[in-house]
Formats: sequence, structure tokens, C-alpha cells
Amino acid sequence: MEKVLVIGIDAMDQRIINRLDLPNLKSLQTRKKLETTIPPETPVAWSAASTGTNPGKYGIFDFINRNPKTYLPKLNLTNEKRGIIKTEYSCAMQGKPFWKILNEKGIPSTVMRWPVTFPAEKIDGKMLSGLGVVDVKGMLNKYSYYSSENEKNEEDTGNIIKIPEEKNFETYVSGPLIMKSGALKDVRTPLRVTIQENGVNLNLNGKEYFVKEKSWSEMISVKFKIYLMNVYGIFKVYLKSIKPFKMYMTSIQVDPTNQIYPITYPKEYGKELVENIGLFYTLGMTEDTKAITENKISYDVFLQQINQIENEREKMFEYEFKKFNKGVFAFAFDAGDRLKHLFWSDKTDSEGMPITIPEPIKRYYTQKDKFIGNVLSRISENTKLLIFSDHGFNSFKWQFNLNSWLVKEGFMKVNTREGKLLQYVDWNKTQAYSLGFTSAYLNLKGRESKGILTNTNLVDEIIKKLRTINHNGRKVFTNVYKGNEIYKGAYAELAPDMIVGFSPEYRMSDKSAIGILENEIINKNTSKWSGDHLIDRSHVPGVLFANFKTSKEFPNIMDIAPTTLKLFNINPPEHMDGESLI
Amino acid sequence: MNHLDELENKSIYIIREAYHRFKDLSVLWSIGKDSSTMLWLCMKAFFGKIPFPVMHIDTTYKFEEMYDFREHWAKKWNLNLLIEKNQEALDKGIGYENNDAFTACHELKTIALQKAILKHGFKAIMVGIRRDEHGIRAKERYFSPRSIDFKWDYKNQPAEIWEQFKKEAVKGEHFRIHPILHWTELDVWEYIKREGIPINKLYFAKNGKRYRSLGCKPITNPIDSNADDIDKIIEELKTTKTAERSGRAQDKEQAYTMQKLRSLGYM
Repeated sequence: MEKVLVIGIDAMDQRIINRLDLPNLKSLQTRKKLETTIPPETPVAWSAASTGTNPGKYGIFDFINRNPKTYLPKLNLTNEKRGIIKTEYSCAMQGKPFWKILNEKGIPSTVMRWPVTFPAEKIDGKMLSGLGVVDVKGMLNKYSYYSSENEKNEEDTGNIIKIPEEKNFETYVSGPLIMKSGALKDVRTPLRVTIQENGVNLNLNGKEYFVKEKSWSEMISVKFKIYLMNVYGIFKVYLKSIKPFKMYMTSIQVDPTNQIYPITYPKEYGKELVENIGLFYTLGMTEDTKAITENKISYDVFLQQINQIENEREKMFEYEFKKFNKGVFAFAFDAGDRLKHLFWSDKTDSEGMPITIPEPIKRYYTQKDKFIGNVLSRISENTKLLIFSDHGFNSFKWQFNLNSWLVKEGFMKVNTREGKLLQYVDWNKTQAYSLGFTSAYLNLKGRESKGILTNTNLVDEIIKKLRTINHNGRKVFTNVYKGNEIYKGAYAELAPDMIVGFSPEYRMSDKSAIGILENEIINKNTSKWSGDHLIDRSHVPGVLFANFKTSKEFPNIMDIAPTTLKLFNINPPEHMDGESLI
Repeated sequence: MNHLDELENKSIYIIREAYHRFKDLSVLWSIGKDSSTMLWLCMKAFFGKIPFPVMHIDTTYKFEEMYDFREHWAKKWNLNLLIEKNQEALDKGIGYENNDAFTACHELKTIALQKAILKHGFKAIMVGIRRDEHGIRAKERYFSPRSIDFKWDYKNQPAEIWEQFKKEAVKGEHFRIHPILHWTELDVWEYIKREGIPINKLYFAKNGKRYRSLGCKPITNPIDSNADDIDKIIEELKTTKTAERSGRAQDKEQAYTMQKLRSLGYM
């Protein structure tokens, strides 16, 4: 029986790949550029790959969407219904992935770490959810940092916990957020710290753990008591120094053996994995880019974490690969994306590509190539291998605040320039607004709660103006698209009216994305987050590799699903926009 | 019997029953329209004089107009008024200037109440919450047991046979009693109008703004409104679609939203 192995490697860029010595990848029969989605954002692109459709059929158009009634932005990976104690999650992806179609034809599937598959859904096979999996607080990532010095910065997203300068003290592990007397509070479990000569003893829930200075702990389990319920989490710490005391703690992640939220299907699959490969990082976006950009861990420690994560992923891949005897096995590796966000070089060519490829990126792909080599040497003749990336990568030097621009051009009227989440906007006089990394909306009557425009004609005028914006002699936007022209399907009406395609080196400012104005429209990006891909898709194509011949010179990411079906001799359903490459 | 009479009857019944059950009882007065209406109902239940203490948890961050209102009506209504604060926290400088709203609120309201309950040995506290106020209150009961740290064990609520409250308070617990749980915001205003209950002037529009709900000054925002008398407020409520506590709840909701959005690496 035919077997299909689909390996997604997030953010693999052909221009980088071509410059490296990667014999195994280059030995594959198909080696092509892959056209990605508009916009080339992780949740949008991976969903196009799994459904074979355009975003209008699965309802994800940006990391962030908005509620037209409240004008509030929301992360569009899950939908959440917050209760007193627990939040109920459902997946934001509304389309039908290829593994479901295969299941209906009696073909089993194992899907691991695929983005936007949280919560894990029923499948004929096994599932471990990827990007979208929250921590026990419901956050995408939230580290804690214990320090005897004052290291809290205004903008820090982590919990910065000041501890006393003592040899023995009690602090806490910050856990789930609950509504208590009308306010959101974290539930805490006491953590006793005893400083030793070369490390610390941590006492938690009656268990002792020793952590050496300048080292990582093992994965530690923690229990939180909420009313009558126990919530379990897992985390690691890195002990930076004993004196002064500085300790980094990862997000408190869902314990796969005791899941507060379903991250595996079946639930017991979490236990099975742990029994075979040990406890592992479960967060959707595990790599702690916040801790490094907020200067709580060093580049080295961040790289150590990436290695730990990647090793775990390879172990879980290996565990399933050994047993893989029929159907489809789909697996996503995504640490390479985070690596490029943080290690993209300052010195780039006119295309935004690094002049010399930074060492960690080189190492990552060399390791992945070895991994692929190992897979190739062990697959049987009737196993078809597809390797793809959701997008490429580029440089990020300038932040563009689209909302500030809308104000300057008079499309948005404000009561004050202060505030966040567009709270300062005078909606009765505002024609357009932007939320998210590539999305802009009209303030449309009947759709927005305080809408004033009766038709969408203004889109043309705004697009025309955006296209003329120049900075340092270059166009800031390569393209601006109209939502109603590029998206078709049941969810198309939720799409933004305008989707901006930035030129290399430009990206939406992170402030604009959450509705904060800045004085300057264009600001230099000074963050360690130096590379990005939230630009026009023409600058960040993905890649496609296969151990078989494929048609089409420039395939599209929507072709992955129909191709996978066709490999099982199943004709892709009518609704798919992509086409089979065989 | 009309709608308001029915609401009133049920509330008065709960109030009398509570007093009959718990001699160590107190009623919380936040000086807002709901708890003032509840006080009014207590006065009606006991023919003018409330036979148990009325407690105000003073965060020290209320509006000046609220303190004036409290002093004036406490005297007029001849209340046995207890004013309780978390003095320890205030001495430490905890407040909205130095702390986030959650911490300030928790310390100055929740902990203050906790301390007051222990200090006076109250077995039951009457609170003027309503089901329609907030999604989270939809599951509340008229009589709701709490442990001393206010944990609401939502799985272990006594069966709601509200005509006969069989369950006695377990040691260490106190009961929350919610006599106006079944009222809506509109009911309250219609009742205030009918009874002529005195109400704080902050509720009435001034320069196009009015307060729809009163809390601590730093975290309470007025809404856009031109309703400067009770009739206009009733009219406004009949047509509005926004939530009553939007002036207050928004802050919490926005704090959560910001936290969540910023947990994405791209920010």
C-alpha cells in the first residue's frame, strides 16, 4: 500500500538552501520554489497547505483578526470562550484538511505539530497539536524570571518576580489565570529555593530538584489547585547565576500526561509519547523569542533551547516513523522559523538576503539535511516524500505604522493619539483602520458597529495612495490587494478589505498591529527580532521537494493537499483551489 | 400583581428568610444604584429600620459624590453603618497609582471584605448582584456558600429550592445572599422611579457623559449619554446594546487581550 510522508519545515527559504551544502535535499527529484499565500503568514499558509483551498474557505487571513462589533483585535489561531476557571477553545481553522478526507476513505493519518490544529481533534490515527497550543495561562508563551535585582522593564511580557537576597526563600510558580471577585488573578504554587554552593535546590509540590548554575533543569511537573480542580503543567528553568540570583523559567506548558486542554488525540497518546521519548515541550510556539528580545536570556541559552526542542521533535518523529506502515504521516518542524527571526543578519543584499549566512541558520539546515538523509535511507520504495515550507524569509529593518498613516491621510479620526487597541478612535468620523500584520478594513455601515461607509469604493483610493509611498527612494509596498478579489468562499466576508504586501525590509509595526499610534509613520526596527516574512508573498516564496516527479514549474502551497490525495489515487474534491502535481 | 411587585416580593422574602437563618448578617452597600435598591428593600422588609449592620468596603478610591451620598443617607436612614478598609494594604501604599488594577482591586476590595468578615464574625453577607450584569454571574444562586478565602465551589452548590433553604453553613464558611439576583438593570431603574429611591447624581448625564455603573474612580469610565433624568435613562436602556459594566469590564477585557496579543513572538 502507498505511504505518504509530508514534512513541513517552517520558513525554509530557497535562496538560503541554495547557498548551503545540503546533499540530501538536493538529491531529491523535485526541487522547486513554492508560491505561498497572501499574506505569507504561518497560520494562513499552513492551512492552505492542509486544505488545498484559499483562505476564504477556512477563515484565517492574518495572525490577528478583529471583531467588527467591538473593533477589538484577536489572535486568530483559536476561538476562546472564557469561563470562570477554564477557557473552552475551538480551532480557528474552518476548512477540511487532507487527513480528514483520507480518513473518510479509510486511510489512517498521523499528524504532529501541524500549525493551527489546536485543540487536537478526532482523527483516525494520532494527532499532536502545533502552533496555537496555549500554556496553562492561555497565553502563546509567557516566561517567568526570578531575580534579586530590579530587572523589570515596562514592556516585559513575562512575569518578572523580585526575590529577596537570601540563601533560602519562598517564591511561587505562576499558574492559570482565573476570574476571582471579578478580577483576573494567577493561581500560584509555592516554590522553595535553597541556594547551594554550585546551584539551587527547588522544592515544589513536595519534590526536590537540583539545578546547577549556568545549566538547564530537567522538565519539572507542577500542580496548581483551583477550587476542587487540579491543573498540571510542565516547565524548565535555566539558572543564570546564583549571586545575584537570576533564574529563567519557561512558560508553564500543558502536561501531555495530564492535559488541561486537549493537545493530543487520543488523550492517552500524550502518555504514550512521554513513556517513549520523555516529557517534551508542548507549547505551540515553544521557542522563547520573548525571553531573548526582552534580554532575560542570551543568544546562547536561546540556541540551547532550540536544540532541546528540535531534538525532542526528531525523537517524536522517529518514534512514529519506525511504526509508519500505512496512510499518511504529516509532521511540522518550526524552530527554523524562530531561528531566522532572531539571527537574520544586519548585512543584507538588495533582496534582503544575508551576505553571509549566520552560523546558527547554517547549522540548523545542515542538521535537517542529515535528518532528511536518514529518512531517505530508510523509506521503502512505495513511500512518497513531500517536503515543503510555508514561506521563505527576509530582512526586517523598518516598521511601518499603517494606523498612523491612516490618521495622517485623514482616513482615521482620533480623539487623542494616546492609548491602545484603537480605543482613541472617533468611529463616527473614521473611514478605515488597520489591525494585524497585513490587514486593513473599511468602517462599513451594517458590518462594523459604528460603520459610516455605505460602499467599498474608498478601497481604490486608499490602495492608490499606499502604492505611491516612498521611503529612502524605494516603494514601501510591492502590492496591495483587495480582499473581495483574492478570497472566495464561505468565510470570505470575514476577510480584510485590503491586504498590504510590504517590500523587503519593511513590515507592519508591532504597535500598529494592536492599534497603537506612533509619531513617526516609519520607524527603525531596533529589536533583536531582525528577520521576518510578513511581506509581499513575491519576496518570500517557500520551497517544495519530493522524491518523485511533479508537474508545474511554480507550484502553489494549495497544491500540497490535492497532491497528497492523488498519491492515494483519490481525486481532489471540487472545492479545492489547488491542483495535483502528479 | 405587576412585574415590579413580584420582584419586590421575592426579594423581601429572601431578605427576611436570610435574617431568620443568620443572625450574624450584614448587607454590603457600595453606594451604587443596585445596593441602594437592596437597602431600600431591606428597609421595606423590616418596616423602616434595618436590624443588621450595613457595611461599606471603602477602597478610598470612590468618587467624592459617593462619599457625600453615603454620609447623607446613612444618617437619614438611621443605618448601623460599618466602614471597612484594608488599612494594612493602604499603609503599604497599595493603590491604583502604584499597582495594576487587579492587585489594587484584590487588596482593597476582596481582602478588605475578607478581613471585615473575620473581624465581625459574619456568617452571611448580602450582596446586590444581578444575573444580567455579567456573564460570570449567570450561574450564581440566591444563597451561595463560600469558604473564607471566598472560593466559590461551583460544583458544590446546594440545590436551589429557594423557598426552603435547608443547607446550614458549614464551619468556616459564610453564605452570600443575593436578594436582587433576578432583577435586570431596567427593573432596577423602573423600581427606583416608582419608589423614589435616592440615587447618586453621577448616574445622570452631564456634558454628554454619564456613569452607568459606579466603582473605583481610576477604573470607572463614563459612557456617552444625554440621559439626564430617570425617564431618559429608562428610555436609553430599552434601546442600548452595550453591556452595563462596559465602562468597567472593558479594562479587564482589554488587559487580557493585550496580554494575549503580546504573547505572540511577532509583537
